[in-house]
Amino acid sequence: MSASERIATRRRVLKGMMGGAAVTVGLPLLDCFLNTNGTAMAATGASVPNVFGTWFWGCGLTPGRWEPSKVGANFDIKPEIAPLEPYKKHLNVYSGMKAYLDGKPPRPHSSGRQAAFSGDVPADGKELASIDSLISDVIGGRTRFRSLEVACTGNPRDTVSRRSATVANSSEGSAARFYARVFGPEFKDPNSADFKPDPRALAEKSALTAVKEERIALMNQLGASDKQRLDEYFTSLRELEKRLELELVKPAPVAACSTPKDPGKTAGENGKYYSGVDIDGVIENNKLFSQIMAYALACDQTRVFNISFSDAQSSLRKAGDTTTHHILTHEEAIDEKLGYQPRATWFTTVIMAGLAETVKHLASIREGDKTLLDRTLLFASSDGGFAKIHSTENIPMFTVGGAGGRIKTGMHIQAKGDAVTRVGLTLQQVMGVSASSWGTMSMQTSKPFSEIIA
Amino acid sequence: MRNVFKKKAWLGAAAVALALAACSQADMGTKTATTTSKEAVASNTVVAGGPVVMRRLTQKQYEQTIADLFGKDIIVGGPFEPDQREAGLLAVGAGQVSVAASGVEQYNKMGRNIAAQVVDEKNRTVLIGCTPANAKQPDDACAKQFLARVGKFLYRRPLTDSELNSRVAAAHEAAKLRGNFYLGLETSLATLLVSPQFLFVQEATVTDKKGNIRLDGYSKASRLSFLLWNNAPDDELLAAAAKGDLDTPKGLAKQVDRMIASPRLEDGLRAFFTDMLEFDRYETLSKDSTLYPKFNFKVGEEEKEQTLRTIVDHLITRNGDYRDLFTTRHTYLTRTLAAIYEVPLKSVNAGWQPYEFAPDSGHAGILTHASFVSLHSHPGRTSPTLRGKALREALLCQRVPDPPGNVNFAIVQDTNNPNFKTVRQRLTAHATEAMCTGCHKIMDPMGLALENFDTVGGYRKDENGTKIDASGELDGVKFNDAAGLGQVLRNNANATSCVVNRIYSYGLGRKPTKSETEWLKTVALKNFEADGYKIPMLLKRIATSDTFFRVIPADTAAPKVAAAQ
Amino acid sequence: MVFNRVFGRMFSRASALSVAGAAVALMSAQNAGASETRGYAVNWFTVATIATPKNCPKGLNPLSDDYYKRELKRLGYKDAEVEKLMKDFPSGEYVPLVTMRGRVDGKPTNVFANPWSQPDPGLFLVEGKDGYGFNLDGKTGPNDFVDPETKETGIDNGFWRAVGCTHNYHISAPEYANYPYAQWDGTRDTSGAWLLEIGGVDNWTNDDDVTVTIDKAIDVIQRDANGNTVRDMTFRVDPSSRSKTVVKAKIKNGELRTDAFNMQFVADPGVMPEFKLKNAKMRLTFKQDGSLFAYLGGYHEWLPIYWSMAQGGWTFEHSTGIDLPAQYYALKKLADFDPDPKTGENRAISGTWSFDAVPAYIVHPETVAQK
Repeated sequence: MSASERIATRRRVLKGMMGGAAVTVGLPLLDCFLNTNGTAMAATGASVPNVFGTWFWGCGLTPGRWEPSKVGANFDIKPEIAPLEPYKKHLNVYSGMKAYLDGKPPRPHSSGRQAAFSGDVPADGKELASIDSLISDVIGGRTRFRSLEVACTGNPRDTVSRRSATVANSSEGSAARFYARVFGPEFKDPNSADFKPDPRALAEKSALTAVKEERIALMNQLGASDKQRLDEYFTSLRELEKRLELELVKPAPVAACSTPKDPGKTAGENGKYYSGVDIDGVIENNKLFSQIMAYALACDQTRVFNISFSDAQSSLRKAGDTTTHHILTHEEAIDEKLGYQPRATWFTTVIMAGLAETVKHLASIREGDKTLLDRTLLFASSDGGFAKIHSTENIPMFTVGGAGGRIKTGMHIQAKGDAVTRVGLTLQQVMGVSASSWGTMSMQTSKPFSEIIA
Repeated sequence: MRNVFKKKAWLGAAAVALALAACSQADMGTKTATTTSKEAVASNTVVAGGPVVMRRLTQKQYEQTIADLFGKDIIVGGPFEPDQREAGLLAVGAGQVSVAASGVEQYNKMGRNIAAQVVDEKNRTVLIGCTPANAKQPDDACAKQFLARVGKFLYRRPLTDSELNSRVAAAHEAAKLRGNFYLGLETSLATLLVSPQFLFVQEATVTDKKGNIRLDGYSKASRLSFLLWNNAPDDELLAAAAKGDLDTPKGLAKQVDRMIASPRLEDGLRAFFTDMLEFDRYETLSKDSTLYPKFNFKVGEEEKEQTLRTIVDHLITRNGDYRDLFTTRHTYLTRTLAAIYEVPLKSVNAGWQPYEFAPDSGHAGILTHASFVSLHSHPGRTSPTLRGKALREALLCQRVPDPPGNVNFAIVQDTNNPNFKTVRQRLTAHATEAMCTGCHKIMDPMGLALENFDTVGGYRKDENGTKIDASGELDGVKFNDAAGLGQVLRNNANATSCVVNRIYSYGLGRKPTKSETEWLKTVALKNFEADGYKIPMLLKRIATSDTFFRVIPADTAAPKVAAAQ
Repeated sequence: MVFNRVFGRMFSRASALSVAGAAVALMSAQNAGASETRGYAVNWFTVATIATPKNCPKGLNPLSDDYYKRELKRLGYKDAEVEKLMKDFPSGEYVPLVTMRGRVDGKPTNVFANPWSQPDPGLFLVEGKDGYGFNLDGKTGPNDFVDPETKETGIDNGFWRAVGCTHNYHISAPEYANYPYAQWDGTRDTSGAWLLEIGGVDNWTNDDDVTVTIDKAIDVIQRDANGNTVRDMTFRVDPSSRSKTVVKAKIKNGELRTDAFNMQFVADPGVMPEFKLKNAKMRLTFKQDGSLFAYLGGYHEWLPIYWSMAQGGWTFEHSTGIDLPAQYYALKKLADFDPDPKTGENRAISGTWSFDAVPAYIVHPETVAQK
C-alpha cells in the first residue's frame, strides 16, 4: 500500500467516524482519530486542550523566606516569592515537602530534583522518566511536538525532562534556533486559508517504512538493554512519523494563534544569542523562550513544555563576580542581622522574577474571555530546600495556572514532611494520567492533595 | 553504595586505596568494599570477553563519515543530542543512550539537508555516479547503484538485499510523488541517514566452528576503525572484512599496521583524548569577561587544540613515553594563547608555533595547560577541588564520591574575609570539618599545586597579595609546585594503568569485564611498560589481541554485568 | 629576529601593581644596572576632548538637518520647498542638492571636494580656556589653552578650538568623541597595531634618560571579551622605518615626558593615510594594572585632516552633524604652524590626541635591533 493510499484509507476511517461532513477540515479529526481517552475536541477547536509545563531552577529557596504563614486560601506572600504576587490567584504554594532517601546516598543537586520531578531516587543514581513525560504520554501525542524543552543557560544538557534512563529530552539553548524549530518553514499556520500538503512530507513519510522494516531483524541481534534502547529509538521515530502525518493535514484553526517575533532577526551580532550562566543573559533568554513557548502553546504546536532557568546546581553569576549562586549558598555567611544570606538570596529573587516572567507570557495570550494560563498547569520546583546544606527537606514547589479548571488555585498547601511525590501524583491526576500511586519506599504515595483537585 | 568505591587491587597504590576508602567509609556512612579481589587470570588463560554494546555515533564520527563519503563541503549542521559520560568516557555513555523524539527530529533534519546537498545540481555528477534515463522519472538501476555504494559506508557493511530493495522502492515512490529522480533519491538517502543502523554502531556475532561466539568481520572492522581512527571503516578494511582476513592473526595484523601507520591515527588519538580529558565541556565553558577578558569561545578552542597538538606531537611524531605528557615543556601556541600565558612568541607568523616553556616558567606537562586548569575552574575563580577531582578521575581513573548531604559549610567564609586570603586558607578551614576532610584530602593537595594558574590558565605568583603556596602531595609523595606534581603523576602507577583501561573501554563502549580487567592488568599493562609506554604500540597490542574481539552471548549480558564492575 | 633587550614585561599581573617596586626587584634579580624595556600596544586612540559650558558659551553648532535647511534657503529654495525636500531626512530628495551646494561660475559644484565653493557660514569655535595639550611653541598667546590636568598655560590646540563646539566632539573623557571613536574602531581591526616601547629605564618613578620608540606592527591587535586590545600579546614590528619614531624622554614622579620630536606613522589608508606630527610632545602615566595613558600633541597638516572627514561626504555630515565646508574654513583659520612661503598661510594646526596602551611583547627584525 502506498503512502497516498494509506492517507486515503485513514481519511476513509475518519469519514466513517465523523459522518463525512467535516472531513476535509483537518487536524481536529486527526486528533479524534488518535484520541482514545474520550476527551475528543470538537471539530471547531472550541474546546481547547490543557497544557502542562515544568519550570526548574537550582539551589532552592531560603527556608522561612518563601513559605506563607497562612495555610489555604488568601495566603500571604513572603519576600523570596514576591515577584509572583501579581499571579497569586493562579498560584499554589506547596511547603514542607520532603524527599526521602531511605538510606540511599544523597547526591547533592540531583537527589532532590529526581524526587520532585521523577518521584524516586534510585540507589544507583540512574535517571527515571520525569513527570512531564508521564503526562505527555497522555496529552502530548497529538501535536507537532510531543514536548518542547528549553534551557536559559544555552546548555542543551540542562533539562529535567527524561523519557527514561537512556533518553533525555535535551534542551534547546538558542532562542533563534528555538523559533526556527517551531515557527520556521515547517510551521503550518492553523489560521491560514490555503493549505497544500507537501509532496516532500508525503514521500518522506512513505520512505520511513524502509527504516521501520529494519526493526525486527535488528532486534534479534541485541541484548536486553540494547533492545530497550532500540525500542526507544523506534518510539522516537514514530513521533517523527506522526509529525509528517500532521504536516499532511490541514490544521484546525486556533483563534489565539499568531506568530511571535523572530528573535533571529532582532538578535545582536550574527544573530548570536547568549549562552552561559551570566544572570543577565539567562534572564534575557528566559524572556525570549517564554514568549516563543507561549505562542507555541497558543498555536497548539505542543501541549507539554519544560523550561530550565538554571543548571542543576545554579551556577548563575553576576558578571565581574568571582562567585556563583551555588558557591554563595554554601560559602556566604548568614547575615546575623538579616538572618539570611543576602548575596545568595539576591539570586533566588531574580529566579522567582524569572518564573513570574514565564507566567506573564502565558497570561498575556488571550483566548476568548480566558488566557492561556487558565488552561495551563505549570509546575515549578528545584533540586532541594536549603541549598547551604544540600537539604532535601522543604523543597519549594509551586504550581501556576488552573489546568482548564481541573485544579483549584490560590492555595497554600502546608505539609509537614510529606513526600514530594504527593505533589507529583496530584499533578498527574489533574492532567488525566490514570495513576493511583507514585514513588517507591517512603516516597510511595497514593494520596494526592484531593482538596485542590476540582 | 556506589560500586565504584570498590578499589581494584591493581588500580591503586595502597595509600590511595586507603584514602578513597576512608573518604567513602568515614564520611559517607556507607559500607566499604576494600576487599582486594584477586581471582587470578593468567596471561595465557582465555579471556571470556564481554557483551557487545550498541553505541550511538558521536557527532565527530557522524561528521567524519559524511565528510569521507560526500566530501568536506557538505554541511552537516546540528545540534546533535548531548553525549553522556559514563565511567569517565562519553564512549561508554554512547553505549547506554538512545535517541529522544527531538533527537530523531534533528537527525531527520540533518539527514534531509545532507541528502539535498548530495543530489544538488552542482554535486550530483560527482557524488551520485550515474545519470537517470529521465530526470523526471524514477530510475531504479541508477538508484540501486548509488544506494548500494553509499549504504555500505553508512551501515559499515553491504546492505542486505531486502534493505537495498526497500531503499530503491522508497526512491522510486518518492521520485514519483515529487516528480523528480533526484528528489526521490534524496528522500531515500535521508532514510539511510536516519536509520538506527547508521546512527548506532551495532555489532553482529557469529558462532564459529568450535561453537564460540565471536564478532563477525564487519563488526571487527568497525571496532578497529572507531578505536584507531574514530571513523567508519574505509574501503580496504571493509574488503578485508569481507574476505575474512580479520579472522586471521596475519590478516588482522596487516590491517592494524596499516591503520596505525595512517595519518588518520591522529584523528583517533585526538578523539580519544578529547573524550578522556573531557574537552566536550568546552562547548559550554564560560569565564567572567570582566575579570578575565582574554577568554572567549575562540580562546577555549585554542586551549583545547594546544593540548591535542601537544599530545599528537608527543605520542605520534616523537613516539614519546605517555608518562612524559605530564612533564613535557614542549607544546604549541598561537599569539592568543601566548597572551594568556603571558609569554612572547619568537615567530608570530599566523597560526600555531612550536613552543618550549622555559624551565623556570612554572609550566610543565599538560596539567599546566590552560585546557586543564581552565576547564576545571569556576567562571570567576579557581577551584583546587575541581582540579583535584578531575585529576583523580580523568587521569588516575579513580572515583571521588559526591559531597555529602546536609553538610555544614558555615566555616567557609566568602572571599572577602580578611582572614582567608588564599584558596588554600579557605579550603583548609573547610576541610577541618570532619564530614568534609576525608574527600578533600584526596582532591585538594593536588588541586592546590595548580593554584599558580588562574581561572583561564594565566600564571600568577600570588592571590590577594599573598604568595601562593603550591606545595602538596600525591599518594604520599610530596612536591613543591605544579611541575613537581607533574613529575609525581608521571611516576604514579595509576596514571599508566588508567590510560590502558580507558583506551580499552573506549574501544568497546563499555567498562571491561572482570576477566578483561585482569587481562589488562596482567598482559596489556605489562606490555605497555615493556614497550616504553608508547601509545601506538598499546593500540596495536589491543587491536591485534584476541581479547578485544571476544564476546559473550547477548542475552546473558544483561546491562548489570558491565555496570557491576 | 630578536626580542627587545628585556621582554616587555617581566612581572605578573599582580606585581605590576607596584611598578617602581617591581623595577627594583628586577634589577636586584638581574645584573645590577641593567635597564628595562617595556612594550605596549595601543588600545584606544582618540582626540583629547573636554566638554565644559565655558568652552562654548554660544552653544553647539547646528546639526545637519538645520544647516541643510539653511543652505537650501541660501540656494534660493522657498520654505515650503525646503520642508518638502527635507521631509525624508536623513535620506531624501535634498541629498544631491546639498552635495552640490557649492557654486563655481554659478554652476553646482561638489562642496566636499571643493569646500571653498561655498561661503563660510561660520562655526561657533571654542572660546574658553579648557583644552588638553602642550605648549608647543614656547609662547603663551591669546588663543592658547590651559591644560585641565597639568594646569600648564600656553597650550597650543587649534584643532580643539575648531571642532570643540560640534555635537560630535563636545564630550569629556572617559567618553570618546564619536567620529574618532568610529574611525579607530575600524582602523585597529584592520591595520597593524600601534606600538610603544619605553626603554633604558632604570627607575620607573624618576629617570632622566629613557627612550620612547613608536612603531607600527605587522600584526593586528585582537580584541578581548570587552572589546579592548588583548594584553600580553606578541607583535612584530614593521621592518620598514616608515612608522618608526625614537625620542628621548624623562620620567619624573612617575610621569614620562618626551623631548620634542617629529613623527610619521603610516595610518589607515581608508581614514588618513599618514599621521604626521611636527614639533610633537608626549606625556604619559603608568597605571596600576600595568597599562599606560598618554597625551600626544603636535602640529599636523590641516588639509589632510579635512580630507579625512570630507571623504565621507554627505554620510559624514548627517552622521556626525559636522558642517564640512564650515569645518574647512575653521581649520584654515586656526592653523598655527608652518606658513606657506608663498602665501604666508599656515599649513599645519596644533592638536592633541590621547591613547591608552596595554602591555605587549614586541619583536624587532634582527637587522634593526642590532643597530
